[in-house]
Amino acid sequence: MKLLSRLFIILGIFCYTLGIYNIWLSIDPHRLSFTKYSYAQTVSPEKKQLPEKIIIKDLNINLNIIPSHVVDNKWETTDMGASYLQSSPIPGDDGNSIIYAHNWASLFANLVYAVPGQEIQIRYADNSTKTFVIKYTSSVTPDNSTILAPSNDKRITLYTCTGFLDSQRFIVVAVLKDK
Amino acid sequence: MIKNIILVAISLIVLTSASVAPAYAMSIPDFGSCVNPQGKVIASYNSGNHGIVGQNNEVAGSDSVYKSSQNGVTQCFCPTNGNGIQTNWLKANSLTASDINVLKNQGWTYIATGSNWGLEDVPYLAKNSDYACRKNATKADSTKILGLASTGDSFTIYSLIFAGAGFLISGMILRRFNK
Repeated sequence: MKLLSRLFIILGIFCYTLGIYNIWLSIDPHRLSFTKYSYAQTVSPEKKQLPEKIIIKDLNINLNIIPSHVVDNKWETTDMGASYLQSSPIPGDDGNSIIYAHNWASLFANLVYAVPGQEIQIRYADNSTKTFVIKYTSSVTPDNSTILAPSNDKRITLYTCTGFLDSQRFIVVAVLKDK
Repeated sequence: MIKNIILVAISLIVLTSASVAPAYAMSIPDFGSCVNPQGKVIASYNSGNHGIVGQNNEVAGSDSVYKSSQNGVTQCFCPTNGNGIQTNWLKANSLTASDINVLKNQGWTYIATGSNWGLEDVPYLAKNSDYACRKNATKADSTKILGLASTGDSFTIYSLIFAGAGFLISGMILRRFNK
C-alpha cells in the first residue's frame, strides 16, 4: 500500500511535469521552425490572389489560411488556422509555397495520414480555387531546411510537427494539378 | 519522502531534455530530402532494377542520384509500390576509425568502395530513410505512432493536469490510510 501511494504520487508529479512542458511547447515561438531558413523571397501579392482556405477532404482538414512571417528565426504561428509563409510564392505560382500548422486536432493533426495521390484545394480571396495533388510525404529533422528551397514547379509544401516531443517535421509536397 | 520525489522529478526533467551530440573529425554534410532534392544530378533512371544498401535483391523503380555536397551524395529511389527510400552516401575516406564506429552505431552502413554502386572508388557510409513517392504508397508516419504526438494542444494539457491531479489525490489518500 505504501509503495502504491508513492507510485501514484510520482506518476502525478510526472504528469504535471509533462503538462508544464506541454504548456511551454504551446507558446514556444521556435516550435514549428526550421533552422537555417534562408530562402525568403520578396513576394508582393495582389490582395485578391492571397490564399484564404485550405481543404483536404480525405483528411478532414478545412482551415482558414493566415499570412505569416519569419522574424529572427521565429516562425509566426496561429491557432486560428494554417499559416502561409508570405516570403514564399503564392500557391499556384512558380516555386515552392510554404503552409504550416501545429499538429493539434483542430489544425494539421491528420496531415500525417496524407499519401501521394490525395488532392488539396486552395481557395483564394477572389473565390477562385486551385487543386494540388500530393506527390511526396516524408519526415525530416528541423535542420533539413532544403525542403523549403525554391523549386522549378508549381508546388505547395505543407508541414507540421511529429515524432517524440515534436522533434521532427512531417512534410507533404503537392504540385498543381494539370487542367 | 519529499527528497525522493524531488530527486525523481529532477531525474525526469534531465532525462527528457538532455542529449549528447557526438563530435566528429569532419562535419556531416546536409543531404537534404528527396521531396525537394538539391545539387547536381549525377545519375537518373526512370525505371529498371536498382540496388539498395541493406537489401539483398534488386528492386524495380526509378532512381535519381544527386551530388548534395563535396562529401555527400543523395540517392532517391522510388519503387513501383511507392514506398521510397532515400540513401545518404557519406565519403568515409577522411573519417577516423572512431568516427566510423560512432556513425555505424547510429545506423550507418560501411561500404568499402563506392565503385560497386556507381560512385567514387573510396569508402562510403550509407544510411536509408523512408519517404512516400507514388500513389499506392502504404507507409504512414511511423514517428507519430512511436512519438508523443500532438504535444502542446489543449486536450493533451488538460488530460495531463487531470491525470496528475487524480494520481496525486489517490496517492495522498492511500498515504493517509497507511498512517
